[in-house]
Amino acid sequence: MKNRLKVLRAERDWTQGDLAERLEISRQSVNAIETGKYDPSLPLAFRIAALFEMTIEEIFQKD
Amino acid sequence: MTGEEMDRPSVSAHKKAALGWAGGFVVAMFGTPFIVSAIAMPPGWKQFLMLVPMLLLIPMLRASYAAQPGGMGAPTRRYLIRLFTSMGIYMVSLLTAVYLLKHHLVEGWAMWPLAILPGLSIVGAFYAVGMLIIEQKDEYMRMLLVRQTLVASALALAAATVWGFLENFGLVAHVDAFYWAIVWFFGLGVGAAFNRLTLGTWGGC
Repeated sequence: MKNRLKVLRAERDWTQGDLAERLEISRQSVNAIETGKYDPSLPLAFRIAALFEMTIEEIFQKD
Repeated sequence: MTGEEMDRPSVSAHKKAALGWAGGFVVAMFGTPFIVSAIAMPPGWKQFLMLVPMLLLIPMLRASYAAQPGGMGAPTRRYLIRLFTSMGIYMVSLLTAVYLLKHHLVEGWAMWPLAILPGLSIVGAFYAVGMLIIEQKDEYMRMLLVRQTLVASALALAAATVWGFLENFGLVAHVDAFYWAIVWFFGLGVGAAFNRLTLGTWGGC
């Protein structure tokens, strides 16, 4: 699955640590999601979407 | 200055501390047996001196977890408390049992609790790992832990099974069953290396 997390984070000038803190997850998790090594669960995907005030489909797309 | 940059000095300090404690652990591991064999001391003291290297593991692991970005979370702290409590009971119960048996101070039914307690304390370490998986709120870190334990279980079960057949055929020496628990803990390390190689992160236990 592809995602726009890195771009969205950069637009807000957030570090991976900043995003991790806002989502209450580890920096390693943010890095794994951004690099496509890990696809988040649906609850986490909803939290990410809510944080960026977007829909899940606007952030995550099929390969 | 970004949040990551602000974190750097303390993370670096924890890394240095972890390395220092690791160095102390290695020196104690090799030095304590030498000191114990070289110096005459009262009965029982030698066994308890051998605990010193194990005690150094506590600050070493604390520093290494604190060195991770974000520091040591509550589940990890509870995991370490459970793990070191189990290991402490294991060491004390085993050394007590060895001392009592060596000096013929116990026999009959009293052998049962002496024999069971070290085994149960190792079960406590399994419990600590299991509870870490349950209590870990970060789903990615939890997945890394699960992968670690799967690798460890596969390694220990495979090794025990193959060794069992080799032993039955009289090709290798007998190995006491509790050693497979040690293989399992070694497997956690292999699992962490597997995580690092495939996902770029070690994992948590």
